[in-house]
Amino acid sequence: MSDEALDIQVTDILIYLGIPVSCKGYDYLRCSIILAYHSPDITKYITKTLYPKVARLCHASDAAGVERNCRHAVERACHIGRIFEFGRYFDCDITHRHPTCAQFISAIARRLHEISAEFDSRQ
Amino acid sequence: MQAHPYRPLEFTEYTEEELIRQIRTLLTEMGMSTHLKGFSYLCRAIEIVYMDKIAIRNVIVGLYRQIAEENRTTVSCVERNCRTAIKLLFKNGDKLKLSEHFLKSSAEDTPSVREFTALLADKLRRNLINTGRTNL
Repeated sequence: MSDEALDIQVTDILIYLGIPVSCKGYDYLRCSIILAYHSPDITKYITKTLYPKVARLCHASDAAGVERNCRHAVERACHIGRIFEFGRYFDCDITHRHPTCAQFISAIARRLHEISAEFDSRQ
Repeated sequence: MQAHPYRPLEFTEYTEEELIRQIRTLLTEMGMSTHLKGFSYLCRAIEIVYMDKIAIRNVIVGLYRQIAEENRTTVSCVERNCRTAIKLLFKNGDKLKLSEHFLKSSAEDTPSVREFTALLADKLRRNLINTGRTNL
């Protein structure tokens, strides 16, 4: 998928899941999902690599701020409740508690790979 | 381990008149009545947030104060008018178009001014206004 189509797809998904657009976490999550799409192992080094990179790209204060805001955004989305319909994309059980940031980012990135495979096969 | 060189993309680049025209048509198509003061305040707010995304972080001190200075009113008047405009939009507007942009409209109350402005400015930047929703 081209960069533009990818960005639009991620925006669509995040708005659908209910992440409030006015949260700083919305920007940081979008950035981290696109980075995780391009290098899927980055969520294993999330505190050392992903959050500092997102902080640099999205003009945040530091990595702890990015993590805090992402967590807040995911929690607010869980109050709306549409995230729980997508339990099958998460590799953990999210019926009893809300997903962590790393789980969320890697699940959406994995779903994006599936979507882009369908997109390319349809072209 | 190298990460992808990501830079935030900017899709649409409207000139000032085009931008104002786009925002006005967007709001009127959704069903907001144009005689409200909140209509023009919201248009101006979306324009400011479109130009500079950081403006949404400080709503009262930054955004409302700027709009209040331009229109020679107070911050609380601006806030009240914007809130009324959004409330009337969700009461009287085109439900189909509203649910296309604001998925909250069926489940909960009306969105806050900040949420409204940020969502529309982001969608305008990424040119997501007229396209249908992609698959999930």
